[in-house]
Parts: sequence; C-alpha cells; structure tokens
Amino acid sequence: MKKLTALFGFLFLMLGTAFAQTTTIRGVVVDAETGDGVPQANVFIVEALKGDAADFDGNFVVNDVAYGQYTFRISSIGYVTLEQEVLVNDDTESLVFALEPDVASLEDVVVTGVGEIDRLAFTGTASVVAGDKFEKVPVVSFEQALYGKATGVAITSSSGTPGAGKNIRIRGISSINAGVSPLLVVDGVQVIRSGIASSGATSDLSGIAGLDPNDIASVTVLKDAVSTAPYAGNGSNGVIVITTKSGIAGSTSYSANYSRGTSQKAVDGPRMLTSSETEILFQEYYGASMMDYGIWDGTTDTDWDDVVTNDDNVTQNFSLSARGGNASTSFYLSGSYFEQDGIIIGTELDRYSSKFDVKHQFSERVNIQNSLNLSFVEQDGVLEGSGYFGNPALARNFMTPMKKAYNDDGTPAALPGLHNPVKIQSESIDQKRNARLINSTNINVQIAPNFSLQQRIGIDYLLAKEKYFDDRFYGDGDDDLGRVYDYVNNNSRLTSLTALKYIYSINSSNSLTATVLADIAKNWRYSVLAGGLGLAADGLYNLGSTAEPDFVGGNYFDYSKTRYGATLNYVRDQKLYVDFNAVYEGNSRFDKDNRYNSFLSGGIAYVLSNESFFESMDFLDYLRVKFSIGQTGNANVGVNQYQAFVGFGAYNDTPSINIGQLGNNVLTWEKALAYDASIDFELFSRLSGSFTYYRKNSSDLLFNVPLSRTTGHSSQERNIGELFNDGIEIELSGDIIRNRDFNLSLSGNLTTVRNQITDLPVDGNGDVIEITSSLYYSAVEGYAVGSFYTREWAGVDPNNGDPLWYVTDDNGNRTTTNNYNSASLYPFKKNADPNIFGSFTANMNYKGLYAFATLYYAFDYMVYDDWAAYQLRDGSLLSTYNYYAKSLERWQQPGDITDVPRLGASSLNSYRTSSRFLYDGDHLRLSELRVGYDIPTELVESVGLNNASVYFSGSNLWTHVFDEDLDYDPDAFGPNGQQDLALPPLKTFTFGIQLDF
Amino acid sequence: MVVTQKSYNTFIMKNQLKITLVALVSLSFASCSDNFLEPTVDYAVPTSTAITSAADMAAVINGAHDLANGAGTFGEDAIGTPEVMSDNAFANTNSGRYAVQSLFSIVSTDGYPSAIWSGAYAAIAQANIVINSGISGGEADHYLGQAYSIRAFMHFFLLKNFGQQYVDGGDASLGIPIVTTYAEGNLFPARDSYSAVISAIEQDFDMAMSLLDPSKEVTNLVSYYSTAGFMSRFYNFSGNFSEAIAAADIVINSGLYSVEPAENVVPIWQSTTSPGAMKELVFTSTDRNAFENLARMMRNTNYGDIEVTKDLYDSYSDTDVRKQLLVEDPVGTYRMVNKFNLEDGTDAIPMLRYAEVWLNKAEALARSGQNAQALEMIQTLSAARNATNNYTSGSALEVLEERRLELALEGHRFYDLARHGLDIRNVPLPASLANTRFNSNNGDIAYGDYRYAFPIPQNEMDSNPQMIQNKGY
Repeated sequence: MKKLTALFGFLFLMLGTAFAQTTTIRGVVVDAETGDGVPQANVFIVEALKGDAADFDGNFVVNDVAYGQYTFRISSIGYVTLEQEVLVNDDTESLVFALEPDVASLEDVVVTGVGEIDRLAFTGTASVVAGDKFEKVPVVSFEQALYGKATGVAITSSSGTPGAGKNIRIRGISSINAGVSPLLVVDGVQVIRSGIASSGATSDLSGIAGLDPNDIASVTVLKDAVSTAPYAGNGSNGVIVITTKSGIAGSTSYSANYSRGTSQKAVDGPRMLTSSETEILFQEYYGASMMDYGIWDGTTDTDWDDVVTNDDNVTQNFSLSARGGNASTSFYLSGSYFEQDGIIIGTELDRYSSKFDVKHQFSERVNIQNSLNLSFVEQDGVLEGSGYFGNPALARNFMTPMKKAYNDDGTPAALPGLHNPVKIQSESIDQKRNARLINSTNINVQIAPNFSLQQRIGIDYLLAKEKYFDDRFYGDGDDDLGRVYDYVNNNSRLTSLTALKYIYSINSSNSLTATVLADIAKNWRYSVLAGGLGLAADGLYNLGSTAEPDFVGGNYFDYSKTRYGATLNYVRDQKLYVDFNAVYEGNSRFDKDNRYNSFLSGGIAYVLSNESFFESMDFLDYLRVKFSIGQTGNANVGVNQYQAFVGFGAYNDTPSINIGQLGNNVLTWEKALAYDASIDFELFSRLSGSFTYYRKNSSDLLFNVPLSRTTGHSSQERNIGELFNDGIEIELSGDIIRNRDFNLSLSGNLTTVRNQITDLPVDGNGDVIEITSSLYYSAVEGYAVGSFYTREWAGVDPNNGDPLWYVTDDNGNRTTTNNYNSASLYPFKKNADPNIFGSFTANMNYKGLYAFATLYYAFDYMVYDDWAAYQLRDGSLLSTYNYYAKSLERWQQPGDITDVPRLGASSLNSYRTSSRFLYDGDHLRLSELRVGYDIPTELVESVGLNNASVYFSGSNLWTHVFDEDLDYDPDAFGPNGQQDLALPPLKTFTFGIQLDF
Repeated sequence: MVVTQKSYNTFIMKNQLKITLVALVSLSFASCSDNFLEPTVDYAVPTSTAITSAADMAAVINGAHDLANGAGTFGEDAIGTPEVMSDNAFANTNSGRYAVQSLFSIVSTDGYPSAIWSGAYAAIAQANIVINSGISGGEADHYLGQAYSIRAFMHFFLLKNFGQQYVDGGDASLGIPIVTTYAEGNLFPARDSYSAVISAIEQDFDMAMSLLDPSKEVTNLVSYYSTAGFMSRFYNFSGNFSEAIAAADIVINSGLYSVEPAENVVPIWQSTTSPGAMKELVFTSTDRNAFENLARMMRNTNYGDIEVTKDLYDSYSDTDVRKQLLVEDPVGTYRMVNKFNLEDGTDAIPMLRYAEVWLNKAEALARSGQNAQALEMIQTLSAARNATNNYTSGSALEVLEERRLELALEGHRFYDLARHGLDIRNVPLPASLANTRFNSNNGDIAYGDYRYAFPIPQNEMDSNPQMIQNKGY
C-alpha cells in the first residue's frame, strides 16, 4: 500500500510539474444537520468532468484541476444533491460542502442492474425500496418483505409454509398464457426466482428463499419501457433488481443480531362441526343416530384444527456481519441462520446464508468488485395444494370429529381412509433442500475520463434436492412396504454483460451519453429422479435400501438468449433529460427464423422547478414531468414449444413413441407497447410524491389456443390476441414532525390496475375463440384475464329449501331455477388479482425509541372456495367428511330464510360450482410492525459497543376481511383465486436485539 | 519518465484502442456463434422424421397402449364407471371417486367424460400416425393392422359413451367425430351420425383383419384374434348378429383359447392376469398406477370407493366359483376383492377375455332367434364355473344374466344394459349409504334417459365450434 501511495505521489508531482496552471482541490463533505462527514459522497466537477468519492470521513481530493469557474455537484444517497459554483485559483483552500439530508426520499439511485442512474436524471418509472425496510423482518424471503412496499407490485401467496414462493405481478397481468412473473436480477445477474423441484405435490420452496433479506442494500422495481429497456425482451412483466450490501471504507464494524419469536395463523379460518353438531344433522337427514351405524362412539370430539396446529413453533434468526476497508479495498461479509417452524405440524425451514462482497481499486482506472451470495435452505414440507390424503390442511377440514387422532396410549391412531396427519408427519419425510450460489464479478475500466468499459460475468447455480419417504405400514406407502424417492434438479446459468459508455459534453449545458452493450445468457437444466419400494426395517430412508425400483427418470434441456443494445441519454442544463434505447434480442425459445426481435423505447423528463418562472415559488422544491414509451417483450413459454415432436416412453418395458406436441414454427415474441406519464414533486422540503399513469398494450400474445381434443392434443401455442393493462400509481411521503428529538413521517402508495382483453383469435367459422370454464372467463374479449364467470347463486328457496340459481331465458327475463344444468352463467367482472392495492406506512422516532408500521390494503378482487363443495355439501358425504359449522344454518322448514339449502339438496347439485362460494377478497392487513429502542450510546460504550438496540418485529399482526362470509385468509388462495388446501399464512411475533461493535 | 501532454494522450489512445478492441471482441462473442441460440433437444424427435421404419410403427402402437392404461381411462376409471352406473356396484364416497357417476349427476365439466374423450382420441392420433406413415409391406402390415384395430376400438368406445343412439335412437342420431388424420385436415371436426361412425368402424375392423398376422398372437398388444373378439362385441352393439357370430367363431374355432376349468378361476384372477385373457393392458413395477388402480378402488383400502351391491352378490349360486371372487365383510358390505387384487397396481387390465367372446356369440344367437344354441352355450359356461342356474329358454336376458355373473366389475354392465334397452335399476343399498347413489326417491333410471350418454366435455365444447352438446346437458 505504501508503494502505491508513493507512486501516486510521484505521479502527482510529475503532473504538477507538467501543468503549471492547475491545482489540487481538497475538501470535506459534511451533513448539514450533524456536521459529520458524509462517507462515500460523490464530488463531481461538472465542467472538468472529473471528481472523487469521499472517504469514510467525507474527505475528498481532486487532482489536476485547471483554474477557472466550476460547478461542483455533490451527491450522496440520502441527501439532496448540492450544486455550487466555485472559483478555482491559487487562493482556493480546503472546501466544505454541507449536504441537506433528504428525509422524504431516501432512495436516489435507480439501479437498473446494468448501471446506476441518478434518480433525477431517470426518465423511466421505478420504485426503489431501501435495504433498511428488509432488515429484521421475521419472514424467510424478500418477496414477502416486499408486500405493499413498492408501488405497482402486487404480491400474493399460495401457501403459508415457510419458504414457499410468492406470486408477484407488476402492473397487472401482461399475458394470458405466457409467464407473468417479473424478471429477477441479483447484483446484476439475471437469476431464477422460482424453485426447480420436481414434485408439485409437496410444499413449494422458492428458489430465492436462501437470500437473507438483511443482506439487501436496495430493491428496485423497474416498471415501464425505458426502465426495463436493458431487459427489453423480458421487460413486459417488469424487473426486480436486488442489490446486496457491499463494503464501506473505514475501520471494520461488526453487527450482531438475534431475534426469536413465534407464529400463529393470520386468520383462523372457518370453524368446523363438532361431533354433537354432526349428530344433529345426521339424525335429521338419516333419521338415525351415527351411533347406530358405528360412526360415532358418542363421546369422541376431535378438534382437528387443534390437532394439526403446531403450538410450540419457533422463529429465530441469528446474523453477524462485518464491513470495512480502506481507500482502495473494502468488503462486506455476513453470515446468518434463520429458522422458522410452520404453524402446521411437519413444516419447518432452516436457512443458512452468507454474503461476501469485496471491492478493489486496482488503479485510478480499473476497479473490480465481486459479490458472492451463498445459501443453503432446508424445508420440511407437507403434501399440500390439493386433496392429498396426507395433506394436514385437508385433514383439518375433512377429518370428522368422531375420529380419534390418538390411541389411548397416546400414540397417533392408524386411521383408515384419510391419513391421520399426526401419524403421517411423525413418520414420513417431505423434504426439499436448495443449495445456491449467485456470483457477480464486475470489472470497470475508465478508459478515458469520458469513456468506460464494464464487463460483468454472472453465475447462478441452484442445486435442488428432494427426499420423500412414505412409511412402511401407514399412509401412501403401505401397499409397497415403504417408498423412497430421491430427486436432484440442477440449474446452472452463465451470463456475460459487456457495456461501453461514452460521455460527450457538447458544451457547458448540453451533454450526451452513449452506451452500447452486449448481453448473453445460457441456462442448463439437468435432473435425475428415482424411486424405490420395499424397505426391510424402520429407519431406512435411502434408495439403496429399497427392494425394487419404482421408476427412474431424468431430463436435460437448455435455453439461451442474446441481446445487443444501444442507448443515448441527452441532458440539457439539468432540466431536460432525453433517453433513447434500441435493443436487438434473440431467444432460443423460438424457431430460427423468428428468434430475433427489435425493441425501441424512449423517454423524456423535464425538471420544471429548475426553470426561472418557478423560482418565485419557494415552497416548490422540485417538480418534474416525464413521459416514456417503448416496446417490451415476453418469451416466457415452455422451452421448445415451437417444435412438433413426439415423445418417448415405455409400455410393458418396451420403448414406445407417444404423441408429444403439435408445435408451431412461426411462434415468436409476445410484445407490449408500454407508455407512462408522471409528475414528481417535493414541497416545503417535507412532502414529496409522484403521480403516474401507465398503460401497457400487449399483442401477439403467446396464447395456448385450445384445440379440439379430437386432434390428440389439448392446445397449441400461438401468437394471437391483444390485451391491455392500465392504471395509476400514486406515492406520497411526508415528514409530519421533524425536530431534534421527535420525527414522524407518513407515506402511502396506491396502485390501480385495469386489465382487459381486447382481441382474440377467430376460429374456422369466424367466431371468436373464447376460453371459458364453469368458473372463469379465462379469456373473453372485454373482460380481465381469468375473471370469474359462473352460475349465479340465488340463495335458498324459503318454501322448500332447494338451491336456486339465476337463469336468463330466451326472452331476456331473469328468473331463478333449482335445476343446476339449466342455470345461466354470468360474468362477475373481477378476477383474483386486486385491482386496487397499496399501503400506508408510518415511521416515527423519539429519542432512542422508534416504530415502523405498514398497513397493506387490497381491494376489488374475488376468491373462490372450491373445496366448500365438500364442506357445504348439504347432506351428501355427511359424517364421511366434516362440514363447515355454517352448515348448521340449513333450511329446515318452510319460511326459513337462510343461505344454506336443506339437507339432501346435494342431489340437486347445490354444492356445484357457482357464486355460492365466491367471495370478495378485499382486506386490510397490518403487514408489518416494528418497535425498537436504541440504548443510549453512553450506556453501551462502557461495554465496548457502538450501538445496541432491542426491538419487537411482527408480521401480519392484524387482518380485516370485508366480506363477512369469507372465513379464510384472502391470501390463502392460489394465483387463480382458488382455495387449494394450502397451508394458511402466518402471523409472526419476534423480539430481537442488535449489537454493533 | 516525464509525462508530457503528448505522450499522455498517446498512452491513453493506445490503451483506449486496446481496451476498445477487447470490448468489441466481447460484444461480438455472442454473435460469432450461430449455434448459441440453438437449443439442445435430446428428449424428443421431430414428428416429421420420427416414423421411418416398421420398428418405429411398433413403438407408436406401444404408445397407444401406454396412453390407454392411464388411471383416467382403461387403467381404472373406464372400467369402474360402467359398473358403478349399474346394478352391480356403487361408489361409497370414501374418497369421492366415482361419486358423480354413481349418483348419475355428471355434468360437462366433470373430469371423467373429458378423460375418456381425450384419451380415446389420443390413441386414435397414435393409430393415425401409423396408418398415414406411408410404410407398408412385410412386418409393417401387422402394425398397420394393429393401428386400424385400435382406431376401430376407440371410435366404438367413444360412440358407446357419447353417441345419442340410446337417447334419440335411429341411424341419424348424433355419433362422434370420425378422425382419420393426425395434425392435418380439419382440426375442428363435427360429429358424424351414428350410422356413419358404425360403417367407419366396420371398415377399420375389416382392414385390421386383412392386415394382422394371426401368427403374432400376444395378449398384451392388440392382435388378430383379439380384434375378432372386439368385432363380436361391436356387432352385437350395432345389431349385426350374423357378423357377431362370424367374428366370435374366428376366435372359438382357432383352438387357441378355452374356458378355464373352475378350479383355476380364482388362482388365475389372483395372479396378474385373468382367466382366458385375450387382450390385456399390462403394467410393470416401474410403469404402473401406484395409487390410482382398481385393486385400491375395489378392495378395502384407504380408497375403497367401489362397493358391490347385495343384488349382484346374491345373484351367484353358492357353488359358483365366481362367488369366491367377492367377500362380504363386514356384514352388508360386499367387495370384489380378487379380480383386481394387487394393490401396487400391477394387475393387468382385461380388455377381452375368451369367456366374453363366448358370451358374445351366445348373445348374437339369442338375439337372432337361435335360442337353443344360445342356451347350450350359457349352460356350458355356467357348468364350467360349478354354478347352478335356472336357464331354460336361452333368451337374450338369460345370456345377459350369465354375462353379468362372468364379467362383473370388468367394465361392461352399463353398456350391456343399455345395449339391451334396459332401465338402470336402483337396487337397495345399506341405509347409511343410500345417498351415495342416484336418489332412491326417483327410482330407476328409464332407458332413453339423457344420462344414457355422457355430456360432451366442456373443454371440447369450448374449443370446437362444430361440436354439439348431448341432450340434457
């Protein structure tokens, strides 16, 4: 290091000798409120196109500045950017720049994953969530922590099992059949988000569950065509860019955090019948007692909800991190262990993650950064998401209270029929394990002051192992004397990004930046699956111990993409910003001739507050309008859908050829034209916000056109149809109280989404192909994708207790009928995605005490309880499966006004799909609450600590559902809005302590 | 070294060039390889080049059998359904399987009609790939014959289930679409008339018989003799009794098959195969329906949905060896425990047994007025089962009774009753299970009721604009 300093000194001396009329500028950047140095502040001399990053104490040095008048631009995250005129000459002394903290908008840099852009110069639309919002949250993955925090981003969960993936939709559903999930970028590497496990029957384990939210520096959600331009062909669904923490120069600091808590169900769910209640219904229906048939012993009354609930569950997290460095090298290192037991027996997740990030400045012109994220996640899951006998969520609803969960000796009872979940969970294994490595290596070369090269190599490696074991004598494996299944899936991805950036200053007020980039990615997926049957003894769980094979399987496929892009950014007087992007992208999912597509986009931003006519308006700190328009793409179809091929299998242990897919060699990109108009503002230095209108027209939809089954196929992928999403996004943030001891800020966001299909293909007769089912308008012109469409429940006939549905006759008269088959189907105009959602957040601190709360809301969507067909079956299967307690409200005699038909109405199909089980999902939820206390420094210094704080952190502490008839958690429904017997979402309480030293 | 303005610039320029070159190389790295975007597909073969030899045709025939033995079709549901929709059996709703069939409350969105419709047409697609492959002569002819036989069988199966012949009656009543091409021609075919489907099936069967090699007789694939057996079944359905007799005689006169002696009946059923099996769908330990199989449906397992009626159980005389295939346990609960007894799913599914061909001939004789010969045939079979019986006339109903006893729970009963124009009797069930069958208050289901045909699956109605729904749905 000494050597390097000497070298710099020498060079400096030489340069000083060479140019007499230049000087070295030294100074410090300080916080205007505290006077402390601002670490890493960016000092830029606009006219000289040079600058420096301040060190840990805010000190900076800029060499070789010619005499003259300059604009110094000083910026740092969390501060208002300062521009100051400075005359540089012999008299120039050490400069002091004081930055005003930017309390209202902390997130000033938009990270696109290709580069970082000053938010003020960014013409696209992005939501940035700072890393501190992800810290100390008692959830497994960032996906859950993102709830309500980013405008335009709707997140729903399919399962409450710890580690299960979430459904993320950015600005609505851009496609009918192609993937609608956003692209995920971690430290610049495009990674896969979902799990890659083979079994869909057991709990899902998200591929990204290994990423510790505490390691996140920021999450940027790119939404419009300009912001997603670097990912044009994948941009239609938006892009989530995660940046993990990196080193900060300065003496090494350590932070240790421990938290521990417990979970409950966020919403209790419907109450089930007790034995004596079942007996009442049984006697009424059959005219006899259950005891006469040996169904009930007269005393057993098992609460299966209680049986499947794990009351002693624990959530705990331990993490340790260190960061530090010097002027040329800095690092961040962390390790954490997170454990969460589910609230349902047999579910648990353990996560071990580590992050190592190192930055090194090789020379003035070359720096390198390597970010390594490593994780190992083990999830003990259950069968869930459908009517599996071993699914504890099924047992909760279906098991009758007349059955005993435990024998008299306390051991789990070996119940026939539906599996006793206690016995299954004590004996079976449903385990998923993910080992993951995400590495990003960046080399930046400053070829000339205005010309730079960036090269990034990304590696994403995910190894997913599954282990299933069914007991020898009870459950799914009893016919085979036990079964073992071992699956290994392995996904590797290699990406390379090369970018060249050239800044051209036309004159003092106009500058142009040009970037060209090439980006390639190749992905390999490989699997080996095997199962074996017959185990000689208990405690054997390996394939090698099985007596005979059940099956072997395995597959390989790959896919790749290439992208060439050029962007131009024009800046004039810090007032006008113009961006233009052109991308040429190829994707292996399409046939040779249809592989490539061009995507163009452009944006313009105008900072009105920098114009003189706004100068008199003192209250107006900032006002900007912007507009962007551009094309994005979607290629999220299964691999090789374009090819017509036959598959291979076996019959009687001899090879067979089976029809595979029909193929479609003209298959190509689904495209979207997105545009965006918005206004950003800041008033009185306290209130900031933005209003945005967006619209995204998708065309050439990758559409799974249903085929007549007489072809031997059910559908064919084609580029057909159009739809749009539009809506508004509002963000508001205000500092209500801001003084030395007490700060209170409130912020809120609102997103609306309108989704509508505008064009669908026509069939051979010229009729529009509409995809409908007994529950959905899956695709019908004029309606949202997947909007509900079903028979409309008209209640119960007070005269005879029959179920009634509405029917519209040929003359257009609407009446009711008790004939299910003749009832009409009606559109309900809502789908399972909230059309209005967002959150309110309050942030306060008083001396060392702080509190943070987020209230999430979602409105205007519906959910369907399809398993109510069993639990409100009106007679059929009574005493075989349990009913909801609501079934006690049955019609009993003429004149009864109720919504539950008479017992026996099941023969009139009363329980069949209709709006009887369709509910509004509208709800409010206290998704997050954190209260903490920073122990005064003078108290902790004596024990060698810099900081110490204790906190309470909770998730989903309170939920209010507006539809009184909906007993389930609105978030317990799958992506199609169907209750699919998945485990319910958690409400988690934790207490923690953090020590910094 | 003293850096001057000039040398400094030169240094930058030189390196700029070098670095720019590196960058440009990187940029072009992706484009220089045309194959970069070419995916590896090593798990499938393009359809256009897949079928080039007789061996490939044989593999496609294997594939048709593979598609047919799924749980949604002949591996389970297509066998169980015609039984629970009859006086032989019912669904006790243990797991909810077969419930809508047993209750006769099937609607167009139910899984069963869709599964058999899609499954049968997938097998027809396989057959059409072989038939239209352009390969013939030598070994290929036998595979062509198998393909014609499969296509005939599946069209027949579809017609039995979806045709309106029992609801509307008459040759002009709606049949099902006849499909003779794969991935070309009209992809949205309309329903052909009952009589058009009948003649298409006849033609395919005739083609099959002319191409199949009688020396290649196996039970696990469709063959010359099993095709003849299916033809005897088909001609009884279409009412062409002389053809039914002729087809049955091909099998009976071959001498290859015989009625198994009584003492062998139970042991053979308890093995993977069945007595007099002529055509079976077979499973192996690595290719089977581990959960969804008939043994698990019929035996007292954690599914155990299919229970036998007392009416059927009581129809067997006490000496009848076939009564040993059933058990009563506990009292009042009857189960077929031995026809499908391997709960791991390795029982072969009998698609055709010699006894059926025997009974097909007897039925054709009875229905064409040759009752004495029919009587002799059913007496012979009954005696071979050690049964006592009251057959006196050799009437069609007596043949049907013997058929019921012999083929119980093998997936024939509903079709047999419908073919004879009989009602579905609502036979008594244990009181606690009374509501698991079609509503006892409504009595029998009269012949001609709309439920004598399944609904055209909703997904077909939605995707095929030519499709017409059956009456009542």
